[in-house]
Amino acid sequence: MLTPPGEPRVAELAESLEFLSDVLHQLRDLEPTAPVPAPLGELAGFLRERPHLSDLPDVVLRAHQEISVALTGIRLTRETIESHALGRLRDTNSRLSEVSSTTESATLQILDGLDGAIDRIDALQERVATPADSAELDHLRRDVNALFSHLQFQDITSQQLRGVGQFLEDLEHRMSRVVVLLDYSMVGAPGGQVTLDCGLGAPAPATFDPAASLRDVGPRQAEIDRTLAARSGAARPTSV
Amino acid sequence: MKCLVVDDSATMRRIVINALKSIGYGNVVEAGDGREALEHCDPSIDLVVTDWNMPVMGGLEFVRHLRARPATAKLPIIMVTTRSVKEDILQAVEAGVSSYILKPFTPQALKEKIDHVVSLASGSA
Repeated sequence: MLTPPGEPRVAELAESLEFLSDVLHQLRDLEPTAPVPAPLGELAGFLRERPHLSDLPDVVLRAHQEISVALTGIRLTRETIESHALGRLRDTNSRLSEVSSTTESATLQILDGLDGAIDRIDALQERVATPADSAELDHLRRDVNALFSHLQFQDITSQQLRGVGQFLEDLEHRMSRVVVLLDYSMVGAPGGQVTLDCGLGAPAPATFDPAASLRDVGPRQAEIDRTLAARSGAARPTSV
Repeated sequence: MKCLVVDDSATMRRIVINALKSIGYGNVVEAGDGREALEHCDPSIDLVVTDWNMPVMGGLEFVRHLRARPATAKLPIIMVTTRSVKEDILQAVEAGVSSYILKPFTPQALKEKIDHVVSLASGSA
């Protein structure tokens, strides 16, 4: 059996191995293809159950090999995430925001143009001499008004882009936490201080609908009308 | 008839206002969120067309505020939104919307909804 001070050191080693094993298990929860960290946990258990000094060199050697491989993997993973993934996520999100704001600016300019067109049609309408000319201008006004309606795509795609942007922000946040965790595991922070809590906290007030869609508007409106009718007792189908 | 259009998107406000004008409702005031809309919501307003998802005060909370005020308790309110999940519709009805229309909509569809809610309001007055 061990004699002091060997026993505390074995216990300390077992504790460290268990901590490292826990960290690797948590990483595996995030990345299922990561290597199974079972050997470290087994080694820790082995140390606790059979703390014989004669076994210790072999145990320490195996542990050292496992730890070296694990730390190298952790270092490479951390560097890859930090140098490539996080930067790309930020860049992609920034580009999406640019697309969204550019589309909104362009849509506002188109709306200005359409407003101008409606004003001119109204002015022309006051000067036309024949009913045929007036009917032609009415037709033109309907066409311009239809263009206004078509521009609703901007509001809907903007909400879709904001939904994607929020997802990318969440992903960046989670990966940043993984990078921090990997830093801690490299320097050996106390186990109690390291967690992989990827909770997103309280949800922010919804200012957009991530499920916004241009698809199947007719059937979805019909379903809404049925729901409203069931509540009020009177069916009122909507033209779409 | 005076309409109040509430939407945080400047483009959507202009599109809704154009749709209202094209179907004969040219007297329109606008607001960018529910809180701002409450300031505009005086007795001269005959119809509210509001979005759901907005900052500061969303459409649902705005509708609840209107329904809690005696002066606007029966004001026709049409929710214009992208949200089409049944639970959302029921939530909006519970909050007090008079009707509900999905984006993208046509001026004709909006007119049908307005005619319906205005006739209901007239009948209940």
